[in-house]
Amino acid sequence: MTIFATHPIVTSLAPEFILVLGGVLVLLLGLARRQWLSLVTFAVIALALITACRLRQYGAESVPQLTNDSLLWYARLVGLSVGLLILLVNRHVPEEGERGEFFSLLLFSLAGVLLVAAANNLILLFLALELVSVPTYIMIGLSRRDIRAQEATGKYFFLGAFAAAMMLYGFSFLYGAAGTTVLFGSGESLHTTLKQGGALGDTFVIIGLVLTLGGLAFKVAAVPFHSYVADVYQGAASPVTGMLGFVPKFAGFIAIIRVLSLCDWSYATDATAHNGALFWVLWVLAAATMLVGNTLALWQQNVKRMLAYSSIAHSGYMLVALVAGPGSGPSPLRNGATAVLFYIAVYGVMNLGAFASLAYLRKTGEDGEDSAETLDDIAGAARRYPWAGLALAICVLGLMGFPLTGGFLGKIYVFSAALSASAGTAGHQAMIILVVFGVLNSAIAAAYYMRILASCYLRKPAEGVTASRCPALRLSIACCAIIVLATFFRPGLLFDRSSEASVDVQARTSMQENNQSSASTATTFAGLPPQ
Amino acid sequence: MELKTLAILIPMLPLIGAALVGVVGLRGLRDRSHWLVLTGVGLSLVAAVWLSRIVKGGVGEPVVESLTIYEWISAGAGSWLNVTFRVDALTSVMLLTVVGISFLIIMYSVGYMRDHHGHAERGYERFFAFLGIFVFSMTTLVLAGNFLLLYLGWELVGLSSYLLIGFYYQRPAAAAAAKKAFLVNRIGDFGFGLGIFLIYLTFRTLDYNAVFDMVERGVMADGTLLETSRITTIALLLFCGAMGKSAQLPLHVWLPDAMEGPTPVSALIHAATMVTAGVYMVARCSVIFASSPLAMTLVACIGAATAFFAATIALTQFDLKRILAYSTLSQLGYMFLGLGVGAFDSAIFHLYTHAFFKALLFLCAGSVMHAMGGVIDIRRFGGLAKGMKVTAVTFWIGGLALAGCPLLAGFWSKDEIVHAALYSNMPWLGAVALVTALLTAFYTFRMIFITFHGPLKLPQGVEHAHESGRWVTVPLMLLAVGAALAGYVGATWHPGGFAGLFETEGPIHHFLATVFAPAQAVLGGGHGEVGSHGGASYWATYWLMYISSALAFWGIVTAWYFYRRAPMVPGAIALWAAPVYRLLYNKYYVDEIYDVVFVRPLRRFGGLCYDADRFFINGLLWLIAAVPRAIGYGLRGWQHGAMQGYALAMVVGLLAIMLWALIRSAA
Repeated sequence: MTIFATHPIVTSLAPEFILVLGGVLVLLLGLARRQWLSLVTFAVIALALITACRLRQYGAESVPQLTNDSLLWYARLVGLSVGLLILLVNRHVPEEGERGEFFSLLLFSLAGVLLVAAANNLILLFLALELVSVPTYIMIGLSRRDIRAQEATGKYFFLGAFAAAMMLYGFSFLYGAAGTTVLFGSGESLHTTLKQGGALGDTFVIIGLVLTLGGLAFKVAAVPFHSYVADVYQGAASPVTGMLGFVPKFAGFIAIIRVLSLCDWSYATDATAHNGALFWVLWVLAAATMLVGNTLALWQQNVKRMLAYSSIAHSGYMLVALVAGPGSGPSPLRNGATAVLFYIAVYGVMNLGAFASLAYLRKTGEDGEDSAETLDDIAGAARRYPWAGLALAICVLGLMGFPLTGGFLGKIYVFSAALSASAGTAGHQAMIILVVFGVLNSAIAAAYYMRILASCYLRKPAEGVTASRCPALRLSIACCAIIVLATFFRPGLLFDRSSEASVDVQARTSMQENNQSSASTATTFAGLPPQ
Repeated sequence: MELKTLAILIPMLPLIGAALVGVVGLRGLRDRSHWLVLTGVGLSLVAAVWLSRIVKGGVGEPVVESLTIYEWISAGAGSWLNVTFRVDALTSVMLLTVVGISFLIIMYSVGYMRDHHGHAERGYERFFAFLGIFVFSMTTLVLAGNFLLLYLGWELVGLSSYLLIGFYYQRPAAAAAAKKAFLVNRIGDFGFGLGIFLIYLTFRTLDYNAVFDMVERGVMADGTLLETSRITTIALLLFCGAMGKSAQLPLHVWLPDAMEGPTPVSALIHAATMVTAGVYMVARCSVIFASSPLAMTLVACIGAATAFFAATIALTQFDLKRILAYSTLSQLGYMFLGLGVGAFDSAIFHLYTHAFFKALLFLCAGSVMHAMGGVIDIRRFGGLAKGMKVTAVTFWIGGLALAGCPLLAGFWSKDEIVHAALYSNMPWLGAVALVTALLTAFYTFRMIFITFHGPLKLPQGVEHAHESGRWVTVPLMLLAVGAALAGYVGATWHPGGFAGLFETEGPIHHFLATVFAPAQAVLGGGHGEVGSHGGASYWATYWLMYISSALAFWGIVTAWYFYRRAPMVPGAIALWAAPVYRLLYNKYYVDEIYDVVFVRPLRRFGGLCYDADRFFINGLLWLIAAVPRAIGYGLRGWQHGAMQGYALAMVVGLLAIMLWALIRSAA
């Protein structure tokens, strides 16, 4: 034990190791003992979470090729906590014989999310991103016996592979420009290379960054890489869809933050640099993503498809804050990165809660029992199942950005950060337009979210809809609704963590210029009055 | 227990009780759901008493503490939107009054909200849930440590008041009264909101401590001098809110109508607690008001005018609850008069004593109404004292306290206000207050003599007058004890003097002194004698006591003469001064005037707006809504489900982006 325990890689990646080893254990146990598998999986995630907390407390030795910053801690904390919820929601999904495979894939995927945040090397980053995605392809297929699930698996797999290829191609350009695959570091690294004068104007670098961002935009479902979302979300079983709204997206946004801090967010601080190419690319991506997601959602009768398009729109809101960059200070009202990290966590829970509520309502169709899907299926659900209806309403209101939910604060943070972070830069005018556009889009979004609520509360109860009996699912729905409300009343619990994470992002940016400044930023943060 | 924990528990316990009613009360408990709220408010009362003991501390000055319950939205270095509480002497006096009276009235409601067979009324559990929410809102309002939270509590009590006035929503009158209360309050709250905005613009913060500190020093946030005009505007805007909530002229019209609600609600919300929120707010912002002589004068004048005006209306009314409602208006007027002449502590003292005797009177009226099968018109019953002994005796005690009969609660506090007014720079306001005291004694005992004395008279359908159960009588007796003795916190036994046996300065004044010290310092000598303490000569301090006692007795004896000895006299006077009588009976036609001047033109304007809305705005909205749908419709063509199409879209999109990026960076 001592050999392993003292090896820096083992200690610094302990939660990830636990997840992967736990995954293998669950896979093996799945051959024989099938009753306790979900419990074992729960224990594995919980153990990883505890280990992550201990690591944060005592710190770990830094290892080359791996980062060890607050963003990693944030990814572990949020990823694993939401991971627990995802497990609860999905407990009833796999069939008796496939539990081992299903739960171990969930564990591998979560390990991938954590590794994305830990990677300080292009190759490791790529592998981690694939570790996130590949298990999800299979989970979609396992989740339902439906032909649409198989179709969704196929589409997601092929398009995912395509996007991965695109990203890998981008990585190769970056490697070509820098001659190294290390992301950050005081020695030879992509970050130091890109810092050198004019490096960002280099055609290779531009191509590399655009391709990389394109591949990552697929993970977060940004336009024009969004087309798969509706089919895949509809095809997968509702609980798995809830997971798809968070896991790949969270990994994608962490990777985007990493990639954008490679170039020091210089496109945001100085929109005229290399003629603002990157700035405008992100600007257009954000605007198009919001518009396309929301307008397409307006036409849907199927709630899952509607929420799929809304998930595209939410990526758009988050991109708005990223266009503005981290700005200054740790506050979520001023710092784009903090706002995005806050938003993605709250969004993940709201989205999961909404899909879990759909999964809670069972309808019996021609091909067996399935979760409610269309507006007709959930009609009057609140009358028959007041608690599930209330939870659905809370989550949907959160997605709408209604006060008294965390979604409201998330939107305020994102838009406010976009305005303040860009203040004083050349891109401020453009950011104002983008924020106004974003707010208008939130108004459009209210139209389709209200239809869900109206159907749930105002219509006559639909025939043939029953409630799921899974206690874990009930528990998780309650947890999601409570978290959505709690993040409104005590947002500090979450954004303090995301502030820390984004301070590290900023610190990394200014590290080379002035080694003191990172320390000073950190002190400013520590100097904040305690709760 | 820590101060902070207590301060959180006080509002939260009633809320938890109310929430539990919503969760379990609606299912299983039904007519036992009062236990949840009663327990919540009871525990809250224990916490409030405990908190007051901590605030009082040992021998020294009372504790003043600002508690940050939590930081809600922080913006870097400083945070804004904190949930902060302020706990000091004023808070604890208000908390004790509010939670204590609420507890007794909730107890009373258990007996009241049932029919003669003890079955719960329709909506019984809803009623108690609303009461719990009210106590939560009111305690939040009182505990608030910044203007935002104050506003939140302010609106929440408005909401609970609306819900409870309209409790019998099947009755059109109740629904209309609820709407009227809400709308009239909106007018006041609009000003109140503007005042808070102006405070923020001026001081860049909404925190009590910071704002009051800057006002005291006479500076704005940027260190420049605070002009009198600005602080006057702030004070007047805030006072708008107080006029709405505390039903002062000219926004008083909602309160008499609010009597459509159940009687416990009238007692709790529209007499004892919520309507005093305006008084509390002005007292809390005493520094702001004291900085503006104009605002002080206006507060005093409006208070005195309302006191007199409402008392005259009360002379002619026949609805037991409405008489009490006008009496509440009048007493609130006294409180504002006290505030306006700088006797902040006397106003709060009166608020505290008034809560006891007015709640008592309302509950007695409710008891009478319950016994009379819902009849409340005093012309239709009489001589009830024999059948309803407890109600009659407690009503007498409440009435004596209201009339300002010596040694009862109302006497001490009302006298102090009158005294302060007489020795202010507007002595004629004191004279108005004295006349009003006479009227008060008269109308109170008019109602008592007609209702309880003389030959027995019962409305049709009622066999005999009978007392209600213990749930009703016990709170009455407790409140009667309060109405008799509550005044002694404001008076101490005088060591040796023949002119006055009592000193008109008691523990409550010492207790509140720290809270109002800054305001008194700002007032300086400008307003002369403040309160009834100070350097006035021995006789000057005590002659008033005799005068007002004499006035009270005069009023009572007149009422006895008019309604027991010579019942022809009132009718003759009404005939002789018919125009005046009609004017008073119709409440100065204020409702009618408002109807002609405001309501109807606004209605017509509203109709116009509605038409414009229907044809113009709706069309526009339809167009606006059509745009996103049209865009979506156009985009739908791309979502046809073929994977190759999706891949193609990705490639084309990527190429377009890259090309554009390259061209831009090369340019």
